[in-house]
Amino acid sequence: MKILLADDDPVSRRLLERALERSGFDVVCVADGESAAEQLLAPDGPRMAILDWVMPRKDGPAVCKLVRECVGIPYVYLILLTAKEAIGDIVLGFEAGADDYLTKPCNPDELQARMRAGQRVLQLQDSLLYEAEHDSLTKLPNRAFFVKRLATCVRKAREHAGYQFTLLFVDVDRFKSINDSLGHLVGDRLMESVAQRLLEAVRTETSPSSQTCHRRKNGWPGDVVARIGGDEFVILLDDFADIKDGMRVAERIQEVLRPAFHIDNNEVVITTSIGISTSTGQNTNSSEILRGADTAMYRAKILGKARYEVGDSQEAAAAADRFKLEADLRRAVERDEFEVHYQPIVELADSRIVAFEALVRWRHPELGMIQPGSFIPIAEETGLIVPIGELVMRKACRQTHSWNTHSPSLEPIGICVNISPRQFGEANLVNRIKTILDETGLEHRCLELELTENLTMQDVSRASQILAELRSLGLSLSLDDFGTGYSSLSYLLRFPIRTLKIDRSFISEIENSRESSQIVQTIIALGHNLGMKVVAEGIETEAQMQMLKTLQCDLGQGYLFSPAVDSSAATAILNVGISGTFPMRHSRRRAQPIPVIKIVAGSVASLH
Amino acid sequence: MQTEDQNDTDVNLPELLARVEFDRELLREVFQIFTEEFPAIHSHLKQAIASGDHRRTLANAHTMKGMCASLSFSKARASALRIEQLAEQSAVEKLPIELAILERDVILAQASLERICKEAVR
Repeated sequence: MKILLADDDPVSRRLLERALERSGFDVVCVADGESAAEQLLAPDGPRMAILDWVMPRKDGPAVCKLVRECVGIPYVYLILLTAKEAIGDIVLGFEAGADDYLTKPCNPDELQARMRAGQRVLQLQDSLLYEAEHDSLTKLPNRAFFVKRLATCVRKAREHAGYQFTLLFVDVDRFKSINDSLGHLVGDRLMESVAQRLLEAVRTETSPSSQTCHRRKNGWPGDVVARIGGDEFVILLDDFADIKDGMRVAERIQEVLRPAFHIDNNEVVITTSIGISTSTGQNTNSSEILRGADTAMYRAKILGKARYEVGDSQEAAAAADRFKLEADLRRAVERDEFEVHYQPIVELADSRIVAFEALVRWRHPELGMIQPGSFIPIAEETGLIVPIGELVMRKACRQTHSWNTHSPSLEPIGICVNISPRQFGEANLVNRIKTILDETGLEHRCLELELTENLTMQDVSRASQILAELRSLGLSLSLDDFGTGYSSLSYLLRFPIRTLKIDRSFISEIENSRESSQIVQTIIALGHNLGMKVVAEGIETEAQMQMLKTLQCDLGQGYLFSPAVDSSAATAILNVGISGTFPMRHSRRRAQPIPVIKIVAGSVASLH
Repeated sequence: MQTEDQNDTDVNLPELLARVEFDRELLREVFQIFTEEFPAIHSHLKQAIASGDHRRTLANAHTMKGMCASLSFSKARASALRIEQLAEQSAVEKLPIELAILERDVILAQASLERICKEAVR
């Protein structure tokens, strides 16, 4: 045990130090009262101290008083060193907070005996404190301990910007029925086992080596798992920066509690309802965060139990929704919940279908069809866009090959597939695409990759090389969003692009805005002058189509012809047309790639 | 001329040996500390008495008393205690004399202990 020895008399100090070392103490020596107080009030400070009465910078009784006034530190056993003739002052020493006294110079046997007495007192203290703050059944900290710790965390949150903590309220579902049917002894054993599994779940999920948590380096031992009621536990995650981490812990808890508990020949399966709440920076309030977790836990119960819910702050709810969507998206990739829809691209001159654009849709098992705008950003962020993109390309190529195979006498249909920046950044993009084409059997010339302008901006020489390799496979390349980024016209010359795309925002205004009409006309002229074809997206009215035909736009796409539809409807469109808008496909005339050109909005910016 | 009895009472050897638990090495060590520290404390005490600073006189006399007590320098301890009490009472006229007595008692005690330590080595 560590003991502090404070005495300005160097001879006395050395004698006492040796005597204490002989008794097995780890002695810290100081020569004045201020240093003594500093040592005793520091975290993990000595639990026992011998203080000389008269010392520079603060005497022994003053140090005792200071230590006793300090709240929140473990009890320190204080012994005052006093001269024989000053024995009358010992009452003052006790009143200042001393536990015992020694007269100088000390008798070694007396010193040892008083030290042993002090250690016994401390052991008893610690034992009583432990019992007062721990649950007797599970040995976990109890409500009293948790409340103290919560107060410390709230104080920290108010004093340190950036510090956050998270609470999880964990309630064992239907515990009362288990107790009633199997008896309280089984119920108690169950709670002991649940406590152990919770500890393991939290230790595993919040350990420094865990890949899933974004913890700051303040040490994970600050986490607390406490039992605060019969079947209620609370977990305090210290210094957690992200609610997603709290949700991961909740999922881990559900995972570890899922296997059955085997208690006295009974197999008991439980679920838990979990409520999660996070601190709110420097405005953190104990009651609010407790209420948030409690409310969320009850919401979990109401919504069917065996789940977790996040507390009712808007930010937390939004983060929770996003987290769930991300988790669902990962599962969707594993289970292939994606469909490809097809929107026809037609020759404006004769409304002949020449290609389809492949568009991804996610059929969520609970939420139904989810539009790309809701999940593509998350997919891009998480990297899931790569497997999703491959799924889409594979399905689209397989479908297109099927169309072309079933009607070999007709002109082959092309398919346009979008490539995201994340996919473009993949090291083996070209090989992957080649593999998909080989697997599906689609003629290379029938595949067109639609790229965005910013996709090529990151590393121009690398982009140039990849695009050249793709072209060498026989694919076509179209450039979307041209002019909305930072590139110039030189990129049109540098990259092997065959298509420019007019953004729908210009097409929608073409009837009413002279400027839009002129921009479109300019883009068409630019594309033609560079040997490219031009596609207009978002054609919704007959008037728009006529104007575009007048402006000699080559191809069109939009609701006027058809929205994006599933493969069955797309097949029907190909075979029978749509209300005469689409004539039948023409016979095969030439074996050439199907050029699809889409003028990109903003390309006018680069002309200036 | 000092008698053997006087030399013995300068240092209460049985008490001292019991305090160091008959560790002669420790005894030599703490004696060394005393020898090194005494001049400075003596000097502070002397200055405090000369300047009439009763608070500093009290503090230094207290420290001196403790150091002498630790080495069982009985007479020197008693002298230091007298200085402490005189300083508490602000009886300044007697302090210089008592300081001289203290100096004598410490010197005699040091000499006794030094002799004892040398005899122990032999």
